[in-house]
Amino acid sequence: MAKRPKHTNKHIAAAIDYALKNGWKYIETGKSAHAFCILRCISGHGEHSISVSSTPRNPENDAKKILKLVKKCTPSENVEESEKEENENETNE
Amino acid sequence: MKPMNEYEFSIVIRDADFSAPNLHDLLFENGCDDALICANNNTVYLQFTREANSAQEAILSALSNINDAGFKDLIIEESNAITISEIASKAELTRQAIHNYVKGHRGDRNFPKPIAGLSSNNPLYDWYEVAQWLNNHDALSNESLEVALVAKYFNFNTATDRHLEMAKSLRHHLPMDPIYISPRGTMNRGIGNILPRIHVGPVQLIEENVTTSMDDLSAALAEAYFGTSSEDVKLLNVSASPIFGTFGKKLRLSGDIHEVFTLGADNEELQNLACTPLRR
Repeated sequence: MAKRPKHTNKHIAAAIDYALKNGWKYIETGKSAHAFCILRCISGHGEHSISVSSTPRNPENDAKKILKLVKKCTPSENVEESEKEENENETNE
Repeated sequence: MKPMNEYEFSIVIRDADFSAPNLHDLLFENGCDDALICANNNTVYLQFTREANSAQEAILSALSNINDAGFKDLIIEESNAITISEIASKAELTRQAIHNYVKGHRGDRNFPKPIAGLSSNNPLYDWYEVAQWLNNHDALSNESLEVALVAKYFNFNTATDRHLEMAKSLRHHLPMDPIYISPRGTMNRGIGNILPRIHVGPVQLIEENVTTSMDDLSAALAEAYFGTSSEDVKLLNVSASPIFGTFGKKLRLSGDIHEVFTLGADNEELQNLACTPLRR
């Protein structure tokens, strides 16, 4: 894999790492002044993208939101599994 | 000084293209640097976490930032119908927890009923109704409830143009009854039920001349508000307090449009009906 630059904020850098580990794609944004990169989920249920800022007003908030989106959008097998679990919980009641 | 609150909300920008190379910079430079810029299949939406004194201030300033960036077709997501998963995500609870509320295993068994999607596996709920209920059960922050309220109340502001256009185009396809829009939902007539409801709220405008006639003032406010003086839009009831302050040498007028207007309604009975609940 080509070397990618690291985000200067550690929270966002960690969120980006997490996204990439979970099947999201890193896309360079080229010349944009404020966009650091684009993260794209390609797990097959509609394409979700996040344009990550280089210097957001509150980096921790952005990092949190990225993590939340990635967790919602992990590759399809995981999603199915968690839904199965939920259904099982319901029938157990 | 009163500490600021943080308000979380999302705004969909329907006239933006996620693949446009300058989109991020445009939004960022116009003050949306407290929003995460996201897209679902190229439809852009911004997830804001905005510090402000009130949800209204937060949301209106965000809308105005996006307008400054050149976009007009905006939807406050919190004003929409949402699924159980989205409710869970907003309340930061598990879907299981929300299912328990829905089924009445927990709570007062009066969880709001869905408003759409019943024949599918994903019924949709009115977020404001749900937010009120969750807040009453200590499952949702006051800030989130405030956002839901403001979104519900102000979404018309951004959607009015589209709704008017839609209503006008529908009008030619439908027989008889005048198209009738009632924001409170108390006066649906004809095809009112399938039309978007338009909520009308406080307005203000800067006027050179003091207007004393109620009709003139109504017309001025209506024009300022809906950006139209078209005869298709006829306001049935406007109340306004004529003087709120000065702005330079001009007088500032403020007022409430009390929520009723019709498109081409000329039926006297309808008009009377429409005015009745608004009299004080």
